[in-house]
Amino acid sequence: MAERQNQNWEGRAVDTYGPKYSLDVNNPQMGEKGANVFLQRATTDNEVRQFCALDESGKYMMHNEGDVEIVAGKKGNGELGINITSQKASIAITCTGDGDILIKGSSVVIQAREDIALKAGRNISLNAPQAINLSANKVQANGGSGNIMKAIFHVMGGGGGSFVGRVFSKSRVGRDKL
Amino acid sequence: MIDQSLVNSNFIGRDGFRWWIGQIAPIEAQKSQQEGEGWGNRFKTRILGYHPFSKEDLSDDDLPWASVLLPPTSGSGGANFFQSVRIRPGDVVMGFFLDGDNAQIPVIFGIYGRTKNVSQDAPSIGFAPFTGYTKRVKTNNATITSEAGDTEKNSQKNNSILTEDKIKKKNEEVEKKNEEKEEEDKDLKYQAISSTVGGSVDVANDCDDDFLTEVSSTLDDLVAAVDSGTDFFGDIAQATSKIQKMSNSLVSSTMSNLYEKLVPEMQGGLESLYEKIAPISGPSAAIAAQEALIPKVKGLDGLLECAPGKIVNGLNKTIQDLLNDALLSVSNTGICIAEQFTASLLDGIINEISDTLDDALDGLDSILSAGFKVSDVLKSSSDLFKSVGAFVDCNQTNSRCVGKVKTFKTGGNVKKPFNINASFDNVLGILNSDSGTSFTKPNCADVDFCGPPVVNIFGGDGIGGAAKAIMGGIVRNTDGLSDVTADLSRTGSIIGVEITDPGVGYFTSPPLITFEDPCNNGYGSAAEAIVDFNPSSPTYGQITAIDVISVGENYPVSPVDDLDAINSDQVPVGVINTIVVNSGQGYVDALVTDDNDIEYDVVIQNGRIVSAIPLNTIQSQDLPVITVTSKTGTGAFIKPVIGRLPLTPQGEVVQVIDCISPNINNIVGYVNGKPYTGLYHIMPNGVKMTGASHTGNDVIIYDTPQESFRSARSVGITTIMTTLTTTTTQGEIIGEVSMPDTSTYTPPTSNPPSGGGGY
Repeated sequence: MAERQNQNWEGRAVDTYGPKYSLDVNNPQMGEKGANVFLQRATTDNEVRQFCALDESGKYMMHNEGDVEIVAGKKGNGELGINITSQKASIAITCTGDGDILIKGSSVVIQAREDIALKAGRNISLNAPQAINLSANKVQANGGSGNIMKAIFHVMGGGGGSFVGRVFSKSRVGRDKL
Repeated sequence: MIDQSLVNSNFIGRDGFRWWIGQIAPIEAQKSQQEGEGWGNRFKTRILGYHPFSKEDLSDDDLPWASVLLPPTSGSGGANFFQSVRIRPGDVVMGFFLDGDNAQIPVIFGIYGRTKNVSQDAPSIGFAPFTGYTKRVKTNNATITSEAGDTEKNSQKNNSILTEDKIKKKNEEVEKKNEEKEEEDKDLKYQAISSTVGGSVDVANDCDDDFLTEVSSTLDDLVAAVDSGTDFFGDIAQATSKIQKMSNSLVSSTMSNLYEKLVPEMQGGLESLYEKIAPISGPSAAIAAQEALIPKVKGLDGLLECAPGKIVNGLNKTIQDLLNDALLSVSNTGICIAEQFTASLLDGIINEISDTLDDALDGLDSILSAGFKVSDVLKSSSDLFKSVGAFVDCNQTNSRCVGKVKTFKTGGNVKKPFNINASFDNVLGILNSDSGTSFTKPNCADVDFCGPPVVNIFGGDGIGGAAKAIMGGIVRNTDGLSDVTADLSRTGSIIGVEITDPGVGYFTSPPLITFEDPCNNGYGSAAEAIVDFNPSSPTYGQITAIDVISVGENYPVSPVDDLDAINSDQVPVGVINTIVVNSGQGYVDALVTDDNDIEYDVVIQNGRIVSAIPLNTIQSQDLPVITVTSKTGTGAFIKPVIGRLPLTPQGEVVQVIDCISPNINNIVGYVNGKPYTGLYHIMPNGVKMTGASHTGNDVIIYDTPQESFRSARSVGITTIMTTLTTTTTQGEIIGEVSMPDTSTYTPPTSNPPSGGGGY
């Protein structure tokens, strides 16, 4: 692990505030995506570490080993209390561990210029006390069981519907028996 | 002189200046001054030449308080402008006495920075150096341990944003080098800046089944976490839980596939049953026999909803055992390990499904083929995972998923997506190879050779880009490191990239560039692809250059006998072109040079530097910095492009490629976004147009690519200019240049070139 030669230490500037907080500018030590333009780091007595930095690839990072809280207060007077925008690339929100993603508001609007895909490893539940409206040029349901599948089977016959219906679709057994 | 006055007033400014150098006393002597109850900014200070070394003769408690004179930039606290004093016990400070020779009212106005050679011992005798840490201001594992405050690189050593495994490898190097150094010259070890660096983030997508991707990332993170050795069992438990939850999708889709295959199987069985009974007992009996199976089939139907949950709940032990086996077997992870793991897990899942369905299928033998086995059906299923196909309907373009990045490394790079279909096939191959449920270490788990980095080009909306890394800044590695690095005799940085295939179809979005070496030793490189977005260009949609933003370090270099390698110490490489990142403004002339003292031929248009070509070619083993100096202009930023240098037939580098600037740089302006260097004329209204004289088919030449594009898009402007050309007289010819083929450039002859084209 030999470091490169000709490192530029000339432009380095450090501002430290004791062992818990420091600001390091232009340190030529190489990071994962280049040296740091600046690195601000802090640590708690319990050794929870935080840093934010800008590296030479232009990536700005904010990391904290503990929790992160972003709050817009009651004195805001704009439409958007918190505005997260990406002008070119995607925005990703990911829980890599066991965490859930919780979104709550008066109304929740998800709008896509192209497609919206809901993908779950287990169940997707839509629950509304008043109405659930599906509207499209084409509305399609596929599945092995459930009341929609049974209804489809009774309407369509052998071409679709529940597992039981499809298994017996070519038999002499009447639909009323299924 | 005032200093020689016979009658001293002992008042600052009247008797001269009594300088002193002293040391801040240990914290115990500072009493309440440093415990939030202090007055002013004061420190007990032992002053050389005034106070004794011996603490018996003069204890720290009896030392005078020295006030601190703050710099104007710190503020006094007035109107809340203030910076705290950062003086620590043991610091050597400089000051003066407010009371002259009485020497009772010292003032501190400066502090000496510590060097790494200053002892960090506990306080002992007076003036002996000691640490600035105390019981209440103490270091911990997350703290910079260096107390040096100078320009040495170990001073206030902050750690770079690197993963913990790389920190570990770097520290091996530090330890090895320190063995040969005197105590005071030893380098400090590195510490990880945060455990958050290097974690895998598999972002949401609706393109593929994520199972393999997420298993790969989970194994990556688990191996890294176990290496850092904080909470082994906790890490295993978390990974087990995560994979168990991920298995929901796998189990459900596997069962769904099974049921899909059961439908035609049972339909055929019911028909056979009818045909078997009807001839003997009549149609009614045959139908009754079919009807008798309805409850059994309904029971099977009921399992489709409930069984997956039960099966997933039962997988905990299987997953935990597999993770333990995997951790014992491999130290490097990757997609091939994930394939092996997934195949073993799938084997376990199929066994669970088989066991679960045994009872339900009991009694349906009469409509199933002889020897029907659930496990055989599932293992032979070529579309075992492909559960997500239904998401892609006719309005969704499948290509939107091609090359999409699914995994990011926090603090670092993106991961190149693997070939999901090939991995599915591998999983099925392993699954059918009788390896059983246990994890078997695959051949790919061992890296035989830590080779040079490969250039990954992926993403964007095109395909086919390929390139090779040009290695420079090559250093010899320290001998005798661990087995992992023992074969890395030379490492280096990526100073350039040679494009071997420019690709096609990058019309709106350039691809991503990453560098990856098999042993994951290198780090720090970053590059961006530059794509030609000009629809009228012959290279439209292709990668025209790769801008190396950060060269990185510690990438293994190819062996000397590797003829395909581009190592700067073997293959002559140097600056062959430049990228004008910012053309600046206000340039009348400019001197452009680089670290190797190469001068560049510069083309300035409207005060902006539009191109810079090296006048000479010399071999360069690093990525030089290009400097632009000018009396008038500002803001130009030009970056070098490293490539192979032209060689003479004898194999020597062609030292001079251009003594006189070639005409290629005589850009008249821009047409359709491209530089124009051909004949032109100027209309009476000042508009430049193509061609030596006006013909009616001429095109306007603009000063900038942007203007030329705007014009090309505007039909209205085209119409106006057509009218203009029919009513104006021929313009004056003020220049005639042509663009020679640069690869076989010869000086222009005295005959003027013909034709008006040139772009």
